[in-house]
This record gives sequence, C-alpha cells and structure tokens, in this order.
Amino acid sequence: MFKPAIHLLARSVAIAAILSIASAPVVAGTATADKAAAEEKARDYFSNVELVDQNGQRLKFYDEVLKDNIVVISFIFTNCQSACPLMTRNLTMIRDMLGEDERRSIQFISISIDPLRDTPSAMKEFARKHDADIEGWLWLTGQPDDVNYITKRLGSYTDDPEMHTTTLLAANVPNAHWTKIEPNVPPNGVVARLRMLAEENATP
Amino acid sequence: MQPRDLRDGAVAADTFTRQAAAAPLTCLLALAGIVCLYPAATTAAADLTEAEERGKYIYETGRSRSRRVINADLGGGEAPTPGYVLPCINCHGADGRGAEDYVGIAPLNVNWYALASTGLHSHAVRSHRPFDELTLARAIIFGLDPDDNKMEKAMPRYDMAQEDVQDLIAYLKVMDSQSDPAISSSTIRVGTVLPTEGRHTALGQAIRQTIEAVFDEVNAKGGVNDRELQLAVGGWNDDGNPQIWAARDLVNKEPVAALVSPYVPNYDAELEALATEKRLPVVGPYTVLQPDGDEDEDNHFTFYLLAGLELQARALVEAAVARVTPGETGLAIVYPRVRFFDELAAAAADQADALGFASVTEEVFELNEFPAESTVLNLQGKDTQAVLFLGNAAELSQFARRAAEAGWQPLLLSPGLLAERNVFELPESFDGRVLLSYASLPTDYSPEGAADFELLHEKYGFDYSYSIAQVNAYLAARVLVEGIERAGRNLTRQQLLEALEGLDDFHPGLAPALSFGEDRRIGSVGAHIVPVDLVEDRFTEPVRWIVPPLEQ
Repeated sequence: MFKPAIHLLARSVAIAAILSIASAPVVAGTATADKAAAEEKARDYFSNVELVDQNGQRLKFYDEVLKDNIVVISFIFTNCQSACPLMTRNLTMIRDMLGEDERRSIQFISISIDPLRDTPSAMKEFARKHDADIEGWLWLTGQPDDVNYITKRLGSYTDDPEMHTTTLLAANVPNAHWTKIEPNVPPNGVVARLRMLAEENATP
Repeated sequence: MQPRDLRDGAVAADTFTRQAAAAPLTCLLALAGIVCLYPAATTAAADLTEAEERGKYIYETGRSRSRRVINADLGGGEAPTPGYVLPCINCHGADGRGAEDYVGIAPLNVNWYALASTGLHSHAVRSHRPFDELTLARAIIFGLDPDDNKMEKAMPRYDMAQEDVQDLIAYLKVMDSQSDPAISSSTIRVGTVLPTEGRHTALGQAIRQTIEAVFDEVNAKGGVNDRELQLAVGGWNDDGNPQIWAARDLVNKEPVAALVSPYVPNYDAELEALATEKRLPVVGPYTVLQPDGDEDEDNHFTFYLLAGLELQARALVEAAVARVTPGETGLAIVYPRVRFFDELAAAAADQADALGFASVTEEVFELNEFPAESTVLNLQGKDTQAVLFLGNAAELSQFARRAAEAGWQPLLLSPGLLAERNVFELPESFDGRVLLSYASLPTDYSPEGAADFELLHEKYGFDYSYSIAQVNAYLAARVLVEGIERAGRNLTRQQLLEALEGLDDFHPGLAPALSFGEDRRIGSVGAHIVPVDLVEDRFTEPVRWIVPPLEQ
C-alpha cells in the first residue's frame, strides 16, 4: 500500500525521534510488545497533562485525547478576528465532507493558545458559533503552563497568539504517524489526507 | 443586525422581542401617515432628556421625530438611500460599540467616551485627533474625520438637519448608560469574584457576606440614587483551573457595571487586563500585589485601595535612613522567586540607590527553599547594615537566628503582613532593629467607621477569622457606593470611572484617607512604619507614616 511521506514537524526534533522509533520495521511476534513500548514512549512525550474541554471535563492529554485515535488538531483563540474563524469554518466543512463512520473515527481537536482568556465557556461559545460544539470535537484549554507544554510538544507554541500557526496537525496516533497540513490545502485535500491516515489502521 | 457577540445575544433577543411586539402598532400608524412614536425605550436605564430621546430615535430607526428627511449617501453616485434603511444601530449596535466582524469591516465604537478619548485615534489606514461635537457632526454629514481624512466607504454620509445631528450627538454622549445591561432604572448590578468551593470557601463567604451587608444597608435606605445594588458572584474552586476564568465567565455571562473586592490570587495582572479590555471599573481587589498600580497607562480601570507590597517596601527603605547612614552601609534585598517580587525588589533597589546607599545587593531564593545560612554568610561580609526581607515569617526567623549566631545585627525591614506572625520570637539581640510596615492600622479607623463595622458584625454575624479580607471588602464596597452616588442618576461606567477618580481625601472609615485621580489608581500610598520591641514583646513608638516619593 502507498505509504505517505512522513512530514516532520518543524521546531520539534523530539517528535522526529519518536517517529523514527515508531516507524522502524516491526519484527513479527514482538509487535505487541513493541506497540506497547511505542505507546509508552508517546505517552512520555505528549504527557498526561490535564486539559479542560468545552464542558469543563478534565482530560489526560495522551490517554484521553490522543491515544488510539486518528486526530486533526488546530490551534485557535476565541478573541481571534482573522484566521481562527476561517480555519474553524474550513474544519467544519471538512468534517461535513467525511462519511458518518469517518466522523466517528476521526477526533477533531482545537487547542487554545490564549488559555487565560479562553475559559471553557468561552471555548464552548466559540464552538457553538461555528456549529462545532459537537460529539467528536474537543475544544481544549487549561492552565497556561499545561497548555503551553502541550503546544510546545506539538511544535506550535507561540508567545503571541496573534502570530500563531494556522497549520493543522493530523495524525494516526497508534501508528505514530504525524503530518502537518499547510493552511493552503483545500478542504478536499485535507479530507484525502485524513482518509489516508485512517486507512493505515486497517492494514496490519 | 448581528449581535455584537454571543454575550449580548440574550439581550439582543430580548430587545428584539419587545420591538417585534410593538411593531404592528408602529406600522399601522405609519401606514396611516401619522407620526408614530417609537415604543418607549427598550431597556431604558437612565432618564433621557428630550433631545437625547430624539437622538436615540434617530440612532435606532434612521428617522427624525420631526419628520425631517434623513438620507444616507453611500458615495457610489447612486440615488440616496432613505435613512431608515441604514440606521446607525445596524452597524454600530444597540450599545454603540461596533461589531466584531470577520469579513474586514469593523464598525467603530461610537460611544462618546470612545469618540472623544484623548490621544491619537489610529485606524487601519488613517488616524486623527479626538472628535468634538463639531467634527463629529461634520463626520456624519460629510464623511470626514477631524483631520480631514475620508472615512471608510462602508460608513454612509447622512444628509440630515442640523437639529437632528445635535440630537443624535446628545444621545451618543449618554448611550453607554442606555445600553449597559448592568444598569437599569431601578437596579445596578456589580460583581465580585471569590472562592465558592474548595478549601477557601469560608474566606470567600466572609468577603461576600461583607459586601452584601454593606449593600443591604444601602438598599434598606432606598439604594443609591434610587437604584438598588445587586451583587453577582463569579465563583472559583481550587480544582486547578485558573481563577481568572471565574472573573471572565462572570463578566461575559452576567452583565456587571463594576467589580468589587474581587479575589483572584496570582492573577492580579490578568484581572487588570480584563478590566481594561471590558472597560470595567474594578474597586479594591483583595491583593497586596499591584502589577501596574499607578505606573503606566495599562491600568486605567483598577482602583487599589491601600499601598501594596511595592509601596510598603519603598517606604521601609525610606524609613531605614533614620536608623542607618546610607553612605556608610549597603542595603540587601532578600526575596523569593515569586511572580512580581522581582519587580518590587527592583523598585526598592531604585529607591535605595536614590537615597545613596553604598551598595544594593539582591538575594533571590527559590520558594520554600530559603538558605538562611548561606544568605547570612553572603551578606555579612558586605558591610550590610540593613536588610529588606520579603520572605515569610518563618524565613525571617531563620535568617535572624543565623545572623544573631554570626554576631551580625542588621536593621530588618519587612512588610507586616509577611513577617508579623511570631515576630516577637526573633532573637532579643535584634531589639530595636526590626521595622514592620502596615498600609493601614486600627488607628486609621474613624469612630463612625469602627461603629458601623461593629454594627454590621453583630447584625450579620460576621466571623472575624477573615478580618483583613472583610475590612478590604467593606472598604471596597464603601468606595464603590460613594462612586456610584457621585456619578449621579445618569450613571454610566465612564461616569463611575470619573467619579472614582474624583475621590479626594475620602475617608472610608476603616483606612487612611483615599485619593484617586486621573493618573492615580492607588488610594492610599503611604505606610505606617512600626518598630518592634523584642524585650517587652510589643510594638513601640514612634510609628511613622511614610509616603514614598513618586518614582521618576
């Protein structure tokens, strides 16, 4: 099967290290052990720092947000006047283009990069404004230290929210396959990319 | 019209319903060619003059009560559009604050406080002086800003009679009182932010109880200018979420005209920022940290009551001069690595430099890891005869003990609220060598203030375990009530802000006199400096009142 090129995240050498470990050829028979080891590695890297979703639920980042999932991650702040609403609208379009089963299997995640101002209710309002306060879409905020830790691990940290990245991250987490999707990729291109990531799971 | 944001959604919907209900009548009258009066103000808060009322009608409908024609010219050369197709409210919103718009057109805030605010007004492609009545009239009619720049195309030019323009401007001047959902004709709602769950609940309860007691007493006498005071509470829990979220959610969900005695430990700077962002007066945050205090323009909305740690630290340095000769000794500043403490150490160091101390040494230690022995060792050799100590009481005690063992008795300067506990257990060799600072002492209480507080205490069953927080809440509530009263019946946030600024030598009962001003946001900037008698274990005379000189 066609294996898409692995896009390393800019500014994140450590993720590159994980990718190379996890995508090393797996010897039959030790696959389960290796998978567990890879998972442990990923948990160490991404951590189980707790973030808070739009309903006030605290979620361990690796175990309760990432693990076992196909994810697409965006970075937003609710006071954003320009890119975030557009990006979010694109994401809702992308989500609409997916089939029902696909929607169930792909976890949408939007992480605040202005956590002190973005309370869970503010995130919920923002999501609702974009018809995106829905099952399968997590809007995450939290203590600034925690959120910054995660955004750094995802290579998307910024001091100044106005300068934040509009790049999306998409990943097949179990396969430790992370890709970066530039903002100029049209929605159907993103859909194709997500489908490729999702199908990886189907192959042994 | 798009609601300005979802916070206003509920208000907008409410307004809409009332208008819709009145619509058939309005339309029938209009069909009959009769001048129809717009249904009486939607959420009328303050009483409007006739001119303001006519102006409001123009703003909301694009029509003149006097039946004079109002036309909107979009500048494209086509025939003028009737004013009622493009009334001001469509773009600038019911509250005049403009709209958040994602497509690039951002209608400006047309409340008078914004139009006339001092300084250069900078927009995307033009900037100009503040508006006055004349230049605003010109802008409405000719589409030119005060510096003759053409305004954005999206803003029509309105062909309307001079009288109507005057009415409209009269309304813009007071519209923030009309549209402030926190202020109605019979109530004013203010907020506070407190712990309502978790370990600090009792403290939160004490603050809330005090504010409510003051409000109840005022309301029992008819309120302030016939408005009843209401308190909305934003509660936080010690569940690990930032406490400032409680303040944000309160302000976003429940309209409040001001915050009184909010308590958000560690988020003082964020609270200031929130106040500025929402143009929300904040009176008497319960804190000793004043991130921007009086220092810069960033803090325009937060009114601190008493001298915080920085002013106290500077007063202590000032007081040291009576005990040691600056030119012959160094001053050491010992403090934990905690947010803002570096800034207050720096302010104290500047003060020491200005006073001519031979040297200034800063010793920073990690929180809860105070190395008493090495600190003493470091400083003793440097001919340091004065130490400004900003650690806690236990750390001060360790420090003094180590210093005594080393035969070194520098003058110890410390804010009372950090060092007071167990201060009498310091080694006797430090007798007469310890000065504590207090922003306020019971000697500042007026007989009336003390009696009033005592009365509330009995009537409402105050628990005295949190008396510092309660006194703060009492003072904040008193100052706020005074501000609201002085702002008068036509209350707006801007007028409240100005009324608070206008407080001069105001005696709130349980504190030194407070004075604010255009550039002053800390009501009392002095500190009592109290010597400690370690032989008799008591505070001694003379207590000095020191007002640190203004920073350069």
